[in-house]
Amino acid sequence: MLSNPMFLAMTVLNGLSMAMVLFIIAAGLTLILGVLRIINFAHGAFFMLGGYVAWQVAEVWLDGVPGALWIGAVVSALVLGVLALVVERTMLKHLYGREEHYQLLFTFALVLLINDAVKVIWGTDILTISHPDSLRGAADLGVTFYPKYRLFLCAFGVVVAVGLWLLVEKTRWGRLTRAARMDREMLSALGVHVPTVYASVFVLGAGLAGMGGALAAADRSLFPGMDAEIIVQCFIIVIIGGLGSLWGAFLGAIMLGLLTSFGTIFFPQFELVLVYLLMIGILLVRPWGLLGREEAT
Amino acid sequence: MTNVMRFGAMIMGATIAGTASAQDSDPIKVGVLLPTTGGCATAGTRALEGHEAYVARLNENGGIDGRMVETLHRDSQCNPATATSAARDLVTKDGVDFLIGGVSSAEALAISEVARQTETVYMAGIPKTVQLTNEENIHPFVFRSADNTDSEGKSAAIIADRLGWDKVCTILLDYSYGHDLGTAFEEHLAELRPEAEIVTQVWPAANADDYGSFITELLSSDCQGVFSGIWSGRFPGFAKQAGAFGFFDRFEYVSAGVLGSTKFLENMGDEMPMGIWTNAVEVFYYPETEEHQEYLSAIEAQIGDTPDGFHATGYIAMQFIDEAIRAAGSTDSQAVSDALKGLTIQTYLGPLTMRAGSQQADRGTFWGKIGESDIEGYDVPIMTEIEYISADGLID
Repeated sequence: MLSNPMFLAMTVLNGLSMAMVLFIIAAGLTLILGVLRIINFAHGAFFMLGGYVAWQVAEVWLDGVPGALWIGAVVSALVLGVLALVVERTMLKHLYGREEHYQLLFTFALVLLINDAVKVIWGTDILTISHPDSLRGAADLGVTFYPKYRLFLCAFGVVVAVGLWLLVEKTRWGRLTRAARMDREMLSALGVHVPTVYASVFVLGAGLAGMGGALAAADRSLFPGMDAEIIVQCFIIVIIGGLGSLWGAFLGAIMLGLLTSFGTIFFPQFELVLVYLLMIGILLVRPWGLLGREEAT
Repeated sequence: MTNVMRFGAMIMGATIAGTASAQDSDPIKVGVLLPTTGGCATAGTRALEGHEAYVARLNENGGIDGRMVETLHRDSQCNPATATSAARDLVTKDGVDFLIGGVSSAEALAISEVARQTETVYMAGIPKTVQLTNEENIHPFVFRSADNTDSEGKSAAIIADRLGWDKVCTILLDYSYGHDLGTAFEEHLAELRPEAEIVTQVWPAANADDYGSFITELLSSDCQGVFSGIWSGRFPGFAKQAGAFGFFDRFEYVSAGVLGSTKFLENMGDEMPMGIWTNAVEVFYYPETEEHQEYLSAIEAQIGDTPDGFHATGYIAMQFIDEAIRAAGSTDSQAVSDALKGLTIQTYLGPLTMRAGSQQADRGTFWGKIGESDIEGYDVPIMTEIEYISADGLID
């Protein structure tokens, strides 16, 4: 089947478009993990909530309005950002430096709360958001035709990756987050208000999850409990790539996406296992992940 | 010693007398286990409304032989463990006489086990798995008013044969419903059309959400048509992805999983691919018979709206119980079980018979082609060229 270029191109693009959605979500997760040292189980729930908020905007309030999905994605990012700010300022901040199981319990409680809230507000029916009019149908790429919306997702993932890299590497805010990651006390001693840095990272991470949820919802479907699969995939990506590493998450997402798309076709019986085998293989060789840094002990 | 025995006999006598008098005036209790939360809540909620519509009409007309029917509903949450404990509570604590319900096949098998242990008649209105009433699992108290995967898969093969498919692809979900459906489809297609060949089969996971790789694999195949078991809960996501690939222009598509359901089509609206073949339990616009009108008015009195196919599942399950009690002249489990075997009832579909051997109703489904609506004031896709494909010759 690999000798058929059309088929090969489609399979690669399937993997990449899946990877880029996962990357947008995993980037937020790895950012929070790297700076705040919080394992945020609720990140998948933020993604799901983002999808539902976008549905509310695009399919209910602005149904039929051109660009409704884009507005929905921005609103999702904002809503999730505000929600994250409230959660961080009122609850999560009390858990910094506490034992990890408190953080796990807290974020897991958020998962349950958000799932129940989604069921109460939107019910249990499966919902979907239409592809935006401008990206309906398929584009002819010469070697194959491919859905325009998925091509957009591929491109957008790269834009987000470069944008985040510039933000973290080239701005004052980025320098502060990197400093907070290395030595929180020192940064505080230098007169920087560390809680603000922490809150901003959590808000950005949740906003990315919300936007990822909105963009994914336009290609997939929405249902309570959809967060469970995505959070596992994102954790795998973050672990493969290295905790806290942006490009690690990018690489991890691409590996997971391609492995899934090729695995589904060539090893349909073992496709789910392949991803875990990949993770085990990488951790055996590099326990700190592909682009992660070895922790000083 | 004799005093103790006499005392015992007195208590027994009193109990028997008590039960006897209770039977004359007390309501008949029906335990309904349908999920109103969880992944199958939509189906469960509508089936419950259908059940209530039947019971409301029944009680208005004086109940069954003068006794009212009381429904005790428990939310089974689409979860077999919850269904088991709720079913057991209904029988032992609440003393229900009958059990109805289950949406998922796992729930049905769980409830059936309680029915076997407590010797309570159980009527499955929605679950389709053939395992419920196969040789291994059948017992005197389990009955099914729903169609099963055999009649659903085989009737799809009839459509595929009529469309003249010689090279066939399948996309079925990788769990018992998908596998049972696929087996039935393949078997019957081989009988009807020996020259037909299954060229590509793909099996997305039951909870799959990204069908890209499977769609790609089918697109690279040279089949004429695709038989699918992607049911209504999973179809919206699939349709959007497949549609973007031009999938529905390339292939003829025959889908089990009741995509012709009216509420489903209302929700899908413009997103519904036109020209695909699918099935439905009931649609309000067909057939135009008196029995069907009567059914529609009973549901409308209850919910103030036209029904969805799932309403019919709850309605017919209770109708079987009702008519079996009348035929048996009692609510005794064994008597009702005996009465159910071979019982024929009149429904909106025409007569429906509970087969004596398999304890499975000879229910088929409506098949049709999705097209534009020609019903005034109803501007959503409907089923056209509708036909009821009976289960005769497709089950047992």
